[in-house]
Amino acid sequence: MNFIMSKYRSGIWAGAVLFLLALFLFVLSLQYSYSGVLGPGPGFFPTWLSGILMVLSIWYIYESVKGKNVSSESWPTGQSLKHILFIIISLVLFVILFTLFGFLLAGFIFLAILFYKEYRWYTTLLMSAGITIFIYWMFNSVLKVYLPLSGILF
Amino acid sequence: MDSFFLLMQGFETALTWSNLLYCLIGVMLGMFIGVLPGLGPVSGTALLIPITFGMEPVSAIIMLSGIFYGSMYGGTITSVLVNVPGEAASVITCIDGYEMTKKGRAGAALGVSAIGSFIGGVVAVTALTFVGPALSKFALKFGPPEFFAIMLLGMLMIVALMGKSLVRGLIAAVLGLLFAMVGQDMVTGEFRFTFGSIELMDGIDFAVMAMGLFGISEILLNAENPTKVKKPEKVKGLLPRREEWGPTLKSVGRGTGIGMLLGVIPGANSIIASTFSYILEKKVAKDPSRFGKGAIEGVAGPETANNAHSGAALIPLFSLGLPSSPTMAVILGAFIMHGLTPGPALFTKNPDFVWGLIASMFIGNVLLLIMNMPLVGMWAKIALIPYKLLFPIILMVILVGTYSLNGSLWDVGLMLIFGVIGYILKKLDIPMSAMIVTFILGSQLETSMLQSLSISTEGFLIFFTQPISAVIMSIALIIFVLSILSGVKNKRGKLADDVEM
Repeated sequence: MNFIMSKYRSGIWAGAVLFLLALFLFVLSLQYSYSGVLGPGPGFFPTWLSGILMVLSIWYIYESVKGKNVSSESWPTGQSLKHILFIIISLVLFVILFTLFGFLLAGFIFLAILFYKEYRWYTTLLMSAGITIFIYWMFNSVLKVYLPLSGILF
Repeated sequence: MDSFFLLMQGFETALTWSNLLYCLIGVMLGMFIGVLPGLGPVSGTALLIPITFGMEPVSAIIMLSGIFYGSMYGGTITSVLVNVPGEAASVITCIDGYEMTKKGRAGAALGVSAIGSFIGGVVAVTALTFVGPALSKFALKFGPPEFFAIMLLGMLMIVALMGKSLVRGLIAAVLGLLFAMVGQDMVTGEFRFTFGSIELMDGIDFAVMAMGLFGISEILLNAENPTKVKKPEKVKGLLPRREEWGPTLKSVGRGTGIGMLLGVIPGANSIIASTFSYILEKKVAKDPSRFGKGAIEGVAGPETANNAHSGAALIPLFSLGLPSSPTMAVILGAFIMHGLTPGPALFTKNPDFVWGLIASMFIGNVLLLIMNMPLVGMWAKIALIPYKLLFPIILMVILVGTYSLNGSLWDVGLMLIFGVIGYILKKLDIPMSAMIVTFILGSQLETSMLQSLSISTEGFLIFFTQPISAVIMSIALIIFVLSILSGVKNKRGKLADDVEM
């Protein structure tokens, strides 16, 4: 029962967040002129859309409270939650390292982090270095997309 | 007959060495994506958009379309051999395909799917060759009100057909439209929802959104329940028994019909096509009890249907500029990035491009037939590449690809945010497909509405006084009302369950 309850709750929470988002966008939309020279102005669409979204989110909350059409997906817990957070953190880390050190080092560290848990350390190092250099070569030479080799720090 | 000569000219474009190569790369990547259980056609096409950046438009789209229809072929292999669908449209093939494998008839199952897919694909592209130009000629008469009505109809169809709950579909559609509003307004030049950020002034890049929503979120979802693929058996003999040819070809014919019909309907995705075909095969069979125990028709029909579907889905995209599924939306995004506008004018304005592309699809289907008949064993081995090796590389390609769009890390950050949003939406069962389609159509929808109103003397009534748009608007309204009613009577859940089986 507890399990099902939490499923209902996620719908209610999502509806509430959507409602707040819609309300925020609605207030913003009011700043754009609602009508223009040709009829509706730049504010017309946003106002209506965010208004409709507010109504929809209330409907969504109602549906979730009633327990109708509840999503059959369950939220991750324990090991899988850890795994997902680990991936997200390493993605963010890549962006930070990219800014600081450029592509080669960021790419190498990113891959090494993800491979480390699964492979032996020397395989990890070799694969990370090899794949990073291969991708660099693909983008720089074949696809003509420039990837910076250095970042802010060096 | 005009189409025929234009098509021959198209072959001239498609048969240059470089375009042939891109076609081959495209269908091979498609097979690859199809075979790998962790990667679907939407994310596959999305994450390869940046790679096509430096190419000629025609080569780029030849490659991206190849990925799309190639993945429909590839998805079959793992369904049949190891009971793991490579992509969603092949779920239904697992039922009888895997049973056939257990009886040692994997070869026949793969053989008929390849033949069926080829027939379905080629017939659908032939239909595109002749129906596409005719439809676009008709659509050339359309003004802004008609386009507005068609886009509205397309969006409502997608919302009505996708997902369990109507309200969640509508939420997704409205969210997509709101995301499309970000940036400079096309008509007045006013900045909307930019929050003072320079990067947002250009609006949200389509590829950034698609790669996040479909690419990253798919990896995150896979991290939760990794699919384990066991070693496939060796494939022997690719042809069905002599007495099976008749029924097989009949189900291929029916599958082609169903696939093409559903392909042109926005929102009726290839899963619906293959499911319908399976249900029909079971209905017309003399002995329905064979189904689920390795009936060859249960493999041939659905596999044909999803390939015919993928070819036919290009008809509304080419002639009306209307994407009927998320993958079509991604391809539409690629069109726009390469400076092409799909729509009625495409056939007259860029004939070289369109006919080259159509011709390449005939070639691509032949290449795929070769890859799926004699070389099928090789592809089966690819499914064995461990996911733990693959997913970091996929992530890296997504990251670098996003960066390469504009050389900006801001895009990469935004893409990651969309990745997390996509993951949450998936968990809440809010259909992302509806969101991406409305996002890509958003600014056109707004512009066409404003244009309609500016030529209108009676305000919003123009959508109902023009005959064509009035008809389309009425259909849209009827569909909307029907989907509300089906929601009230709680029949939606049943339909969605049917699709999932």
